[in-house]
Amino acid sequence: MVMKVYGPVRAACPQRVLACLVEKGVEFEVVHVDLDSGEQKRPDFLLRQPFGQVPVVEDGDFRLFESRAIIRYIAAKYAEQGPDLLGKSLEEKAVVDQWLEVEAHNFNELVYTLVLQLLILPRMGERGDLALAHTCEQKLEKVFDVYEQRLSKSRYLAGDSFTLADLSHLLAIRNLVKEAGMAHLVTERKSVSAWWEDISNRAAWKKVMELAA
Amino acid sequence: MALKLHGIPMSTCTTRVLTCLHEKGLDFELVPVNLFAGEHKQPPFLAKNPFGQIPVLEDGDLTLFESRAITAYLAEKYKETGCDLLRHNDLKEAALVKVWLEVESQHYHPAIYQIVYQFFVLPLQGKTADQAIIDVNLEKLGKVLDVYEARLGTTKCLAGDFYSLADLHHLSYTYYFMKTPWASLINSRPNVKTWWEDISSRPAFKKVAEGMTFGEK
Repeated sequence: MVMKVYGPVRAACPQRVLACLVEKGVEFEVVHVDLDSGEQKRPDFLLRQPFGQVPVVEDGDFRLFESRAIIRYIAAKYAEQGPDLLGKSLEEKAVVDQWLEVEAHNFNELVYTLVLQLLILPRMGERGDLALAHTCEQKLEKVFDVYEQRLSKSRYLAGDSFTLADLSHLLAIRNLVKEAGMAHLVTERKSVSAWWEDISNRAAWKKVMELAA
Repeated sequence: MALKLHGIPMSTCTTRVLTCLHEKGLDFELVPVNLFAGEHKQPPFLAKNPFGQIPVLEDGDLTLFESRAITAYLAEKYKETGCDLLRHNDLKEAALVKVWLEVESQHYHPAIYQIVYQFFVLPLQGKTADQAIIDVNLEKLGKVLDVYEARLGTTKCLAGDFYSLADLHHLSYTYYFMKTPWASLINSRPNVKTWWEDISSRPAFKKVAEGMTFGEK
């Protein structure tokens, strides 16, 4: 039975899961969820995901939510096929986990807040808080400085290979660079630039972008 | 060579790791970091964690930061000893643990962190708490706890009928939260209350809680 991914292909967190599925060569079916009409907050969807968010994945009769948990499950279940996204040794896996946590706790909220203020609220006809967006940008400069330092010593975040830690950043950085006018955060940093060029040109990510177009 | 944990006994994120170490019955050394002197923002420490935060674990040549990555590493490395925190023998149970680890990380933590920060940390820096921020986050936390109440009506703990790392990750912040005027958010929800009493009375956590003295004179 093919894995079902519930969520619009254009939404960020479903794309995290799709990128992982494509990297691993796992067949899947996207079940569209209409966020604009609030489908994700309706009772029948809340049975799938009690927080009313996408994505949700159904693997046979096994259901999972939280995109970062889903990608870990997919990478573990399909460890023997496609690229190794988790790391081989215990230590390698721990470093992958470390940088996944960095994305979740030191990076994501800043990008989310910035994109909310600069893009999403204005699209909904509301005023974004530009001062808040600017504060996020300044904090992101410091975070990217740490990434620059790391990537000057290591080809990818967790080491010499592309892993979930890099994959997890794709959608947020794409939004910063292509939609929010924040490309300078990447282009002003040599190692971050090279890393972004590399990971955003992977075949799997390009496929996800085609699906979302 | 023993495990070294850099951090302090009253810190929420350090105690997240301390609890895991105790659940696994591991020997370790706690190396204090002088936060008030800004030790964590200076070069020797920044070489261990470039984000300038505690805790940091040193295990021989391996240095790790991010408390949730550290606990996952310890739970994996010592999976055959102490409590089975990751359910490593069952792919589906292990996946459900990961789901609720993410729920803590993405839903529970952002709300409870703000309340604990405003109520405990700001006064230590001589600042006043912002009640508006507290109120917004109490509302968010209430909604999350409604989901927990429903979930814990069907299972004993978050990932299933077993204690796991997902439950453990909630201990530190909730412990401090229960010392605020808003503990009723937990106490008014019977399933959540039972679960909290259960997980917070585990010997491993009680040992760690002795050092969690924020807010006490």
